[in-house]
Amino acid sequence: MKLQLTKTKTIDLSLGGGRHVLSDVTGVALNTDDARGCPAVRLVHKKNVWSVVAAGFVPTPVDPLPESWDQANKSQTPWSLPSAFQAPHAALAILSPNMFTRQTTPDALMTDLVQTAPKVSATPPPRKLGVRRLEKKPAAPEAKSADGAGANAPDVSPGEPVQASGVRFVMQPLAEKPFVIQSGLPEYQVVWLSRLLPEGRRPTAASIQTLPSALLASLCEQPAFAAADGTAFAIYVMRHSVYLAGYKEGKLMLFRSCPGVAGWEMLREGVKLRLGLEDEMVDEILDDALIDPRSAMEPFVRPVLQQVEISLDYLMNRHNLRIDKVFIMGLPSGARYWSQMAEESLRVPLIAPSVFDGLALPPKDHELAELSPSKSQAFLAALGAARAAMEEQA
Amino acid sequence: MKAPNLHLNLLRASERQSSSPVRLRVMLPVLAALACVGCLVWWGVLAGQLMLVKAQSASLQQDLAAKKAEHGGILNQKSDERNMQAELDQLTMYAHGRRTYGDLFRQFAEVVPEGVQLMSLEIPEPPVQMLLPPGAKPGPKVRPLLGPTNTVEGVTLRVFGRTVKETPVEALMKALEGPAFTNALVIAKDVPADQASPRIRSFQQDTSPADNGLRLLAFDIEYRCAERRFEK
Repeated sequence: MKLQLTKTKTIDLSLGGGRHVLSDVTGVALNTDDARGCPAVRLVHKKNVWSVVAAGFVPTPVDPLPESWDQANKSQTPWSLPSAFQAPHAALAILSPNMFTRQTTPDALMTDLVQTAPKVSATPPPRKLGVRRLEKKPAAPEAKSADGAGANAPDVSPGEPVQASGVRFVMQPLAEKPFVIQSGLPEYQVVWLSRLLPEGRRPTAASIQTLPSALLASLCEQPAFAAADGTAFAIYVMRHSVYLAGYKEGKLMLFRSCPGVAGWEMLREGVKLRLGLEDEMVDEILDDALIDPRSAMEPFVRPVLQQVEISLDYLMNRHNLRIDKVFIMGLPSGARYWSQMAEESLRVPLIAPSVFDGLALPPKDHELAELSPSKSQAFLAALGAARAAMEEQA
Repeated sequence: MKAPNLHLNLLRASERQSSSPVRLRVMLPVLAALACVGCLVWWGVLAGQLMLVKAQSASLQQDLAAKKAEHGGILNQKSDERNMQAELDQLTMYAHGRRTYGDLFRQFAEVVPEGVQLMSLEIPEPPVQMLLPPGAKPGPKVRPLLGPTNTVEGVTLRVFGRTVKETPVEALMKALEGPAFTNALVIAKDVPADQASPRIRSFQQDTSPADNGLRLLAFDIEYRCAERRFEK
């Protein structure tokens, strides 16, 4: 809102509505099954410099992620972050068994909406004291089918969250038309997450993202990514899943989840069993050159590399996009052997930088500054969530 | 290179909460309520002050009424005091205007020569003075002035007597010019006849028969006395 003080002097007032320019955000990855807690990164953008103010593990919320409206409507224990992470805003990256992040087309999206639209009005969330009534948008004319079956289908505009069939989703168009990337989470989980950080105390939730969608912005400030002019391929290896993303000049061209592929936890288990290691030794072996664990890794890595090859071929054949920079992110250990295997099969080495490369680190935090690239990967989703929430400023 | 603009935010703008402990949606009603309470308190204070001022005004009016009565009493007393003072002044003036003739008559007895028979000594009454206020007509409601408006009053002494010849009368008149009568009688000779003192009003043959058949002369001599002054 603009307030005119004099004929020539006008000031801008923000009364809580509209878009905010975020310059200080704490990204937190929730429900990641990490025994150390929730990875959290406080990211500040000031004078065109991206700096990490704090990074570490914060205690997990007392209440578990709800599995139903009944659980979501129960009184929540307020969750507060340590003082180092008390930025004005928080970006939450949630790993939920009910979430989805996928590349699709508007037609497929509309088909889904038309099929699920009647359920929207049929299952309104129960209202309880303290729970806000969720707003419903009027139906979009183009979402209606010829026979009127999709009369209740919601309007889908890029970047605006929409609820359908008890699921809230949001979509963004990809650089490759007509594809879009769509991300969704059950409505009750979004509502629960929106109230997790109490109002009036720093931070409060400014962004709720699924963990895969939060990963996509984590590469933004990587010097190697910038050196490749934003044209690169990224393999995001997470605890239970692997995601692939192709970028062209910084824009997302391709996103897919590797089908039938387990994450790095299963890989560690396999290496541990195959080599007969204790749990504490697995990461050391995977980062050490003394014992070659590739034979143990191959059943897990090879399918991923095959999917990468398929994706690179797709980009090459459909978009004539030759990519020679492939990043591997999220791996807590063993990136070196992944790279060797990729070089053997794809003739492309994998780049495994530290998550914090390209970012200014706090000068007194020696522990964070000396963190190895492998150890820094735990903060990948938290950093990506914070960076994505600050995208509008970039 | 343009950074990827991929922010798949599931949180609606309406669901965003402020981290500021001062929340506009909380503070606005609180401030409005405080403003209302402030107005009520202000009006209460004003009403209290109005009541206090009204009470003070009533008290002052009562005081004023009482003071007016007292003031009227004081004015009456002052008026009485003025009247009494005026009366006192008049009495003082009358006291100062009083003349005593005892010494004059005692001295007079010593200087009367033989051959003179005093028939009477008369100090005539002065003319009646006008004691009404200027412009007032006589009436029962008109209060006369306390004293004469003319503060100087002329006094004369008429000497009536008989003699056998002029000489004793001249001796008497000579004796009355002496220092013993200077304060009481005025001697003025070198002035017009009507202002002279003594002034022989008559000196003629006495018409009343004498015991021994002598023919006597009656005389009437008027002396001006010192003026009678009504002054403090």
